[in-house]
Parts: sequence; C-alpha cells; structure tokens
Amino acid sequence: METNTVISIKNLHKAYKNGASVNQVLKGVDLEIQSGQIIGYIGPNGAGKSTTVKILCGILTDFEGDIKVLGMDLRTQDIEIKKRIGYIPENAALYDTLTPSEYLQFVGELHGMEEGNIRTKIARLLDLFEMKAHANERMNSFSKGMKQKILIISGLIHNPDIIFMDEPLSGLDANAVIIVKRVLQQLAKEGKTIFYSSHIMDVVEKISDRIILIDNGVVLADGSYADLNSESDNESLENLFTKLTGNSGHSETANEIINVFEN
Amino acid sequence: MVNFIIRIIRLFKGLFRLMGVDYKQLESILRVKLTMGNRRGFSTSSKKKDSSNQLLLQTFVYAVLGIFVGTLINSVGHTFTAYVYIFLVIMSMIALMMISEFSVVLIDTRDNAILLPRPINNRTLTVAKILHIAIYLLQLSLSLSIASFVFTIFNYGFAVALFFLFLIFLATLFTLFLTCLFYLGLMRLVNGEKLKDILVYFQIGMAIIFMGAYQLLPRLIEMNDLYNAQLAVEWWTYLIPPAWFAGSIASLTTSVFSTGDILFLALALFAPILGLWIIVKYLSPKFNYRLSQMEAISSKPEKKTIQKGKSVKFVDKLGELLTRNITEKTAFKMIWKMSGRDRKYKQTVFPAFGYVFVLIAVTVLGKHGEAKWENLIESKLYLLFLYLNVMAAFSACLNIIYSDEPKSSWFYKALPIARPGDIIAGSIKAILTKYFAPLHLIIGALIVYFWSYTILPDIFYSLISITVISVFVTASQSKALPFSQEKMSQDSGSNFIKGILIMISAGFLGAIHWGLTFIDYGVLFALPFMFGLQHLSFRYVKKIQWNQIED
Ligand SMILES: Nc1ncnc2c1ncn2[C@@H]1O[C@H](COP(=O)(O)OP(=O)(O)OP(=O)(O)O)[C@@H](O)[C@H]1O
Ligand SMILES: [Mg+2]
Repeated sequence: METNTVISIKNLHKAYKNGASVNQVLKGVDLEIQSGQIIGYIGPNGAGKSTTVKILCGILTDFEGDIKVLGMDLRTQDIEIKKRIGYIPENAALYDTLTPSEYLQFVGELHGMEEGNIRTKIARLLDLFEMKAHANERMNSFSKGMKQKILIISGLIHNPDIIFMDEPLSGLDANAVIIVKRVLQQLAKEGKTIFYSSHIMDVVEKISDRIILIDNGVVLADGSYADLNSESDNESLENLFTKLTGNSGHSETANEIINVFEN
Repeated sequence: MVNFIIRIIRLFKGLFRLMGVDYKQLESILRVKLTMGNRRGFSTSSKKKDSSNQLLLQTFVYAVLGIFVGTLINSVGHTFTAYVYIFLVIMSMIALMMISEFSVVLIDTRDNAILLPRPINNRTLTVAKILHIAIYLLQLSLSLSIASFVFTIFNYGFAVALFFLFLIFLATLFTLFLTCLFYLGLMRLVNGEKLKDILVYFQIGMAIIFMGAYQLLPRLIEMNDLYNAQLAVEWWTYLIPPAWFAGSIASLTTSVFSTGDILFLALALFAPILGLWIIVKYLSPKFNYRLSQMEAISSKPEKKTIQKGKSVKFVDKLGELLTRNITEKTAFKMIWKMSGRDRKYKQTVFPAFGYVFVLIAVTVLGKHGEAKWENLIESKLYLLFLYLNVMAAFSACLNIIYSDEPKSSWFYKALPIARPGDIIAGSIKAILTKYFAPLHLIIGALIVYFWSYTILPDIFYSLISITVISVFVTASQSKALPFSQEKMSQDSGSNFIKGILIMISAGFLGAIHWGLTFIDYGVLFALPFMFGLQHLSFRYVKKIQWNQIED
C-alpha cells in the first residue's frame, strides 16, 4: 500500500485566553503524518495533547499556523475534512439522556448515512461490543467503560479515513482493550490513519508505528519505538518518557509522599 | 409533542434549504435536542425510553397561568393599556423563564465534542440553535397567550384575535433577540462555572419575584384603579417594545390609524425582523464561539484560590463551640462551605429565605391604613413573623441531603466513621447557624425596632424552638447523609407533605408560644426547658446508625 501525507501541521501555535491571562499551550508544532499508520501521541498531563487533537478535528478554530488534512486546508475546507475524520473525545461527552441506539442513529444521520445502513450497523456494532442488552437504556446510568464503547462506535460508525482518539482505552475492560487494539491495527493495515493519545505506555509501545512525544508545547521526540530506543539500550517506553520529559527521581518523590502520609 | 413540532418545522423545509441549511441534519439535531429537553429533570434511573413528557406538561401549566394574563383584557377598560400589560407580562415572563429554566439546555458544552467534529456547516448549526430556542420560547408564549386569544375573540372578534397571535409571534422573536443580547453580555463578563453560578442567582431572584408579585400585586392594586388605568402615549412610549404590539392591536380594534399607530405597527413588524437578522448574522456566531471556548474551562474549573482568611478561622471557632466531637466538627465545617457552593442547594433553599420576607411584607401591607398599623403594634403579630421563619429553617434542613453531584458523597462510606448521626448533627448545626439563625435575628431586629426590646426573650425562645422542631423533623423525614441524594422533580407529592409539615409545625410552636405570653415571664421560664429539649433533639440525631441511612 502506498503511503502519502494525510496530515501536515506547520508551526502550530495555540493560546487559551481567559480574561487577561494567556496560557500559551502549543508553541510551534510541526508534523507530517502518513496514511496507514498508528500514531501514539504522548506527553505529560497538560502538555497540550487534547488541544492538538481538538484543533485537528475542527473544534478549536482560533489557532495559528497552517494545517492540511487529507490535502485540504483546515480553515477553509473544514466540512469536507470532517466528513472523513472520526473523533473520540477524552471525557465521555455524550447526550446521555438518550439511549445508545438513539445517539448513534443521530450521529449517523449527521454524517448523511442512509437510514437502513445506520440501523444494521448499530445493531451489529452494539452486539460486537457486548452492549446489545443496553441498546435501549438511557446512557446516564452507564458505567465509564460502557460510555467509552459508545464513544468509540460513534467515532467510527461513518467509516472515517483518519481517526483521532483521545485516551480511547480509558475505562475499558481487558477484553475490550484487546479488541479495540486489534481493530485499530486492522484499520491501519487497510490504509486508515489513527492518531491517538494515551498514557498507557505499554499499549503505545506495542501498537504504535510512530510515537510523538510533546511537552511544554513542543515536540520532544518523534519516531518509531525502535528509533527512539536506538541511542539507549532497550529501555521501556516508560523509562524513555521519564528521561525525555526530564523527570527522574521518582522513587525519591514516592518516599517523600509516604513520609508525608505517615506523619 | 416532539414529532408534532418537527412536522411543523418540516413545512418550512424549502425555506431552510434556500438559506443554505442542510435540512436533514437540522431535523436530526432538533429532534435530539427536543427529545432531551423532554426528558430533562426526570429520574436518571428510569429505563424506559419515553416515560416523560415535560413539554406537554409545561404547555398545560403555562396555559393555566395564561388565564390570569387574559383576564387583563376585561379588567382594564382602556384597550391600549390592557394590551401593553399583556405584552409586558408575556414578554417578560418568557424572557425570565428562558434564562432561569432553559439556560442548561442552551449552554450545553457537550455540543463542542459532539457536534463540532461532525460535518455540519455553520449555517445549519446556527439555525438549529436559534430554532431550538425559538421553539421553546414560542411554546411558552403561545401557551401563555391561549387565554388572551380567547378573550380577544370575545371582545374584538376573530380577525383581531388572529392578528394578536401574529403579534405574539413577533413579540417572541423580539424577546429572543433581547435574551440573546443578555446571554452574550453575560458570557462576555464571565464564563464557565461562574456563568452557571450567576444563572443560579438569577433563578433564585426570579422565584422570589414571582412569589412576591403573585402575593403582593393583587393586594396593592385596586380593581377600580386597574379598570380606569390609562397609559398616555408620549414620545418615549415608542421606546417600549410591548407598546408597539399593543399599539398595533389597539389601532386595529378601532380601525383608526393615526401616524402614531402606523409607527407602532411599523416597529412591531420590523424590529423583530431586524432583531432576527442581527441574531443570525452577528450574535449567533459569537455565541457559538464563546460556547466553544467554554468547554474546557468548565471541566477544568478556574483556579479559584480560596483564601484561608478570617472567615475560615471564624467557622473553625464556631465549629469548636457548637459541636461535641471531631466528626461532628468536621461535618460542620464541610457543610458550612459546601452549602454555599452547591448549586442545587442554593437554587432550592435561597428562594425560601426570600419568601419569608415576602410573606411578612404581605401581612404588613395587607393591613394598610394608619389605624390598622396602630393595632398591629399592639397585637402579637410578631409571633407570626417569627414563626414564618419555620419555612426557611425547614427548607434549609430538609434540602441538605440533595445535591447536583450526589455521586461524590461516596467518601462518607469509605471513612471509618462509627456513627453517621454525628455527620448529620454537624451538618444540621452548620446549616441552622449559617442560614436560619442570621435570618431569624434579622427578623428579630425588625421586630425589636417596631415593637420593643421586651420582645427579646421571645426572639430567643422562638429561635430555639424552631431549631428543636427542625432537628426532629429533619432526622425523622430524611435519614440520609448531606448532599448524597439526587433530587427528582417528580417528588411534588413529598413537597406537598413538606408544606403541610411546615404549616403544622409553625402553628403548633406558635400556639405554645402564644400561650406562654399570657403567663408573666412565661417565655423566660420556658427558655431553659427549651435548651434541654434542644440538647435531647441532637442526642436523638446522633443515635442514627449506619443501617438507618438511605443511600
Ligand atoms: N478551554 C481551555 N481554557 C483554558 N485553558 C485550557 C483549556 N483547555 C486546556 N487548557 C490548558 O491547556 C493546557 C493543555 O491542555 P490539554 O487538555 O491539551 O492537555 P493534555 O495534554 O491533553 O493533558 P492530559 O494528559 O491531562 O489529558 C493545560 O494547561 C490546560 O490547563
Ligand atoms: Mg488530554
């Protein structure tokens, strides 16, 4: 399968303004992302991962820099882009007084899918995610993992070419994690691009074709796990993460914390 | 109801398409939004899909309210004046309702994650939002004006009545414009959590105003004066929106069209259309932009550092003074702070404080005239004022178990607390000290001012006796930990019971107190006895065991 650039980000800056205070979150991010890859986007809490993803999905529009997705300019052709991307948000944002069937139906309609098609897809997917029994219950009583499954389905239902996922595995049980991982790998094999952020380092290490680490609004490291590992000898991603984000002395901190608790 | 509305919207399909709206998406969004509105406020556990029909219920309630509005047509002799009142009432009611009831529906930050990443063009999103608000407003204004419509038919015939409905439609559009301006102004000043807080205070104010108006207006306005009321048309009358609509309809009933009438008509027609145009063109995109900025702010609350200053120390001291053990003291401090921050709590309880004063005002104003005022001072009416405050005490105590986020109360269970009664006792003490006692002392101060300082013992006696009854009632009514329950809007049955409880308790305590006033120093002697009872009441609360607590 031939690969080509599907996302290109040039000199991306983003600041949140809240009254007089300005929080510069992204300070010049440059990325080129090829199709058919799984990209693991990692970084400490508050690094700006979710912010990047929201910008790429067209949720946040006041950024600086140039972004092209699928060859189209994000500022001017956002609707065309949105037809071909899927987004799975980090906090379970759902209309939770609806039932999964109603909600997914709604999402399908927004993507202009044909009604019968939506219905059969929803039924199959809910069944595969073991949510069939809850198909007609309101989602406000759902557990975190149950909601997450619905979010995943709602992000994939229209068969997008690029999938943005913010912490997609949070709350899922072990079986669901394995299934979702396989699904992602299969989708990548078919030429789709998956851009996801996560804090679960061993998952990122295993399934990502490429890992991008950001901290303080800039890209700190970028490459396959093997690339990142070439300088040091066979370290886990967890250790690399620690080293690159300049955070060491975890055991001292842990001891310190215990000290505080015990006194 | 939802399907009915959608079917009406569908009639304008072509128009929407012309505007560049993706009609299918528009319909999907509206259907989902209306469905959610329809299910709002009902128990979360309900598993059935369509067990609720909020919209229909509301329509009915407003239609009944509208009857009072409609009677203005016959009780005000001057046509123009009558309709000014009607449009004024309807327009301000829908604007206030909009802000107090539907803010949650409109300012829905989930939209950012759900709708923005989907291929929906701006036009469609804007129109969907405006239609959504407009539908609510129209539902309100039309149900409020059904009665006025009927009265208009009887008085001026069918044609005028139809024109009236058309004007109501325009007035609604104009109100929509005004409320949009209000929201934008507010969002400019504050955002996120702060906005929601302000809206809660708005709701509290509204509740008090409604109650006050309902109680006071009929007493203040003499029917005769009302019938003879006549608003003269001055130059500034043209600046009052309700006058535009009233002027238009008045001129139609007389079929005389002066220059002034034509000006009214023109304003009534074009101002709403201009307003709508401004909304679509300028306000709505701004609104959407502000909303998209809001999301993360509300999920990541503003950095609000709470200064550990004098007030905290004061609460610590009070807690020390009023509680007996560490659990109780901790609960006292926690609840003192939380009760001022929990929106659901403020929203249900604060209006009750206002009502107490409204009712006092009603009693005083109900007896206007010099001679009656003299009588008032000689009477023992102060007892009534003191015991009206049972309402505030009960409302503060009985609502303490409810919260916006009941799930966050899990930690009580996780802590090694032997007797949950201590928590309940601490929280009742906090609530009574923070809200009821100051209120009672304010009322007391007023009474001392109007009567004399000899009433002081009565004020303290009533303070303690209301405390005792509140403690007993709270402990027996709802055995649950503070902020641990979800309030369901369906419990109007239990609200009724609460109302009865308040009346009976207030009457009972008041009667005893009244009896005591006939004995020399009776109240003074009864004070120590009441202190004893108060002690017992808290003992009773503290005995509550884990197995008696509801979750
Ligand atoms: N709407 C907002 N308004 C103001 N500041 C924001 C907003 N959203 C995020 N921020 C700030 O931007 C920074 C980056 O946030 P972001 O959510 O992108 O981090 P993240 O990398 O996804 O973190 P996490 O690992 O915790 O999910 C943080 O400092 C956060 O406080
Ligand atoms: Mg994040």
